[in-house]
Amino acid sequence: MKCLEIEKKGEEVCILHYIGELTLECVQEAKEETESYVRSDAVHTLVIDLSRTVFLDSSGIGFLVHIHNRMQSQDKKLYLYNLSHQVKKTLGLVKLLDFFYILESEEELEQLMDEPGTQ
Amino acid sequence: MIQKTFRCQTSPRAPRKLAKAIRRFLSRYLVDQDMLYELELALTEACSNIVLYAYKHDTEGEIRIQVTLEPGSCLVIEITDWGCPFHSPPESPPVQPDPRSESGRGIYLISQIMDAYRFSHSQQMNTLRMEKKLRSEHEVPGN
Repeated sequence: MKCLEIEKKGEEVCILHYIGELTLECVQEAKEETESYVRSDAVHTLVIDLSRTVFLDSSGIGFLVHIHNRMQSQDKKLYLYNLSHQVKKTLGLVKLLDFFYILESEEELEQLMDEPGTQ
Repeated sequence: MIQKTFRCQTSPRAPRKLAKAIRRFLSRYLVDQDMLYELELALTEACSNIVLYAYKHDTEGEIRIQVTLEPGSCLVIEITDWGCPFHSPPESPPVQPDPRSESGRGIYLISQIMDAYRFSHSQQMNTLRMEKKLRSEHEVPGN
């Protein structure tokens, strides 16, 4: 991972933008950087923006599944947002596009923000 | 026939370094960007398995990759290491991992991308041979 940008949307929603690659080289660092948001009592919904993620391998998939499992175990929600072509390609190959909640557009993100319980 | 050999010492960075170098080489001959991405992914997975399981994060050990391109026919990639013996997984093709599983998708990805692949072990060498059929629309015209 080259860069992680954090954006708070309201009180309970946090958007993490992963810029660069999500691979074996960097998933441990990505897990460590994300863990505080997963654990935070204030964050009920985590949105991972993958629009600028240029390469995703099986370790990166493992990272996304790990965050999904961690959030679900705490009754919280994880959304993947704005998947890059490369991310879509990799998740399609392992048939996980239906496993994650995916937001395709800014409109869908705005709708999520308007839902009761996300603010 | 076009042939090139790539070599690298094992390290956490080796899989991406090798996969990117081979993609750059193949992009002289192949135009299909989706295919190039998939080949880069299969190479990354194969080399990551070597770093993790053959050399077990050791810093000593070589990864050798021989790329053979038969224009209009096929691409053959042979990846060799001298680490712990690796034997082919029992299920072939591998079953789709449980969606909640956080690991174990490397060989499954390779099976989804390549037309054929085979693991072998002899004379202290592990070799993974991967094959991909090529069609004219995948290739740079005139090569």
